[in-house]
Amino acid sequence: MRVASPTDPITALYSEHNGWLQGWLRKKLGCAHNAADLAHDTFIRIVAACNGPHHPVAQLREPRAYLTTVATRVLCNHYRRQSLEQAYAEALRQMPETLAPAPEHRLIILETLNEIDALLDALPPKARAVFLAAQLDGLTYSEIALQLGIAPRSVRRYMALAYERCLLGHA
Amino acid sequence: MPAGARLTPAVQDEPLHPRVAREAAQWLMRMHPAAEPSDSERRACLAWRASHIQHEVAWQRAQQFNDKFTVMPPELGKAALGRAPARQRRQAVKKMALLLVAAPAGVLAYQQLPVAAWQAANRTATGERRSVRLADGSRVQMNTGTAFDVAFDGARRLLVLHEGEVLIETAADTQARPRPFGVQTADGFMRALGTRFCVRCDAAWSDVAVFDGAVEVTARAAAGKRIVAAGGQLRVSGAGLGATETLAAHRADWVDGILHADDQTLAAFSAELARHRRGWIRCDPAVANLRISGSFQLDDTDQVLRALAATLPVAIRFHTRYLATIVPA
Repeated sequence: MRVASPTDPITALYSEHNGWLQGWLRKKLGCAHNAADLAHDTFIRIVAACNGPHHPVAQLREPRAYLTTVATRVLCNHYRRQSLEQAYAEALRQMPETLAPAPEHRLIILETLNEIDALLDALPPKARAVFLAAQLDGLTYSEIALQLGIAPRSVRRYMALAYERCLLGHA
Repeated sequence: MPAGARLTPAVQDEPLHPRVAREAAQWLMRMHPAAEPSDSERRACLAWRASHIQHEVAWQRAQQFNDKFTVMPPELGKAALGRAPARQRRQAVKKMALLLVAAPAGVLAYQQLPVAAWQAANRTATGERRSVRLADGSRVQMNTGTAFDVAFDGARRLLVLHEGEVLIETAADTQARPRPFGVQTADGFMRALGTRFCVRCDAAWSDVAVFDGAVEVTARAAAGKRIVAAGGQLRVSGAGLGATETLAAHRADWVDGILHADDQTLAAFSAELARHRRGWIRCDPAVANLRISGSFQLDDTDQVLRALAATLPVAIRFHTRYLATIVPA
């Protein structure tokens, strides 16, 4: 690979640390193929962050700490998606044939679930349970309070928290 | 009062202010069917939504989120979303919490990712172009890497452009009292005066190009507004309104998937091409000032790069699937 010019910090970051990053990810994942993919995702995120006049990469004092931060986020996302896919496949298996969604809708539903799941990520478990009960079970707040054994006021607080997270994203 | 005038003092760089998100969340909680809201609460909520365009933007975004729950059998959603978190993942999250403490520089950079744009309701990926029709019949052509939200209510039609480029053909409003149509970007507000126009939102500026009719442009950062007539274009930035210039030829060729260069420097051309390509293109300073003219098909950016090598004294090096550099031949 060509030696990067000092005016192009991302190229420098890539050429100096990509190998190291892939190694780091491979150790976490135990899989070289996924490690390459996730390293790719990591750099894509960084490129996206740098498409502007504020070039955060240019001032990095510890590039590997920065890479690890972004890569860990990518890794978390990977695990989240993986566990979601497993739970989804399991739920599909257990559904009666007549109630299960048509094969052509299954992928769309999975993608939608993934979007929701990403937004609800990092929400406290109770808030998540409250929100899902209101959105998917069609229970009223007082019924949810009874079912989960918490105060009605907490139900309202958790609902608002869930909406707030969704509106702001989970950065 | 036009929507833009109301927006100017209050809107931050982020499309949704945290305070607005918090307020909106309270209303969404109170208006949820599970809350069994009263009529007076509903009226109060409508008043809140109408009191600021950002309120409506937040409201609409949340409704789109609510709609997502309706596409799946509830028990399937419960099983998948209500699953117990996996062990690996808990460890990864824990590890991340440590890193957030250990690497402030990285965190700072990470927070600059355009999260708001990722959540916008209308989005094109890098290299993608698409046309959408809005509820009022207006047509929006989206260029590569574009994200916008739409907020229509009884008084106005507003398109909030987070990033990228749109070509808008406004439709005559079907309502008894026609509502004004406007575009809000980080840099300013463009009010359509019956028209076909293009708005491009870059990190540091927004460009308006008018093909039919006229557009009134208001800068966010500085005082003053100006009407740009058909055949004109203008840049608005943190410094205010730029000069009105003659509309560049081929300004909207991207709609047909064509990138046009007219005696452009290779540096400028490759920056333009990079918008349409996943990853990035680096142009070696030694060839940055070479000149290029021609029309290129955007659908195959590899092909465009190879064409450069065939016509100019340059070579293209592909380092990975997303990094290409243009170097002296």
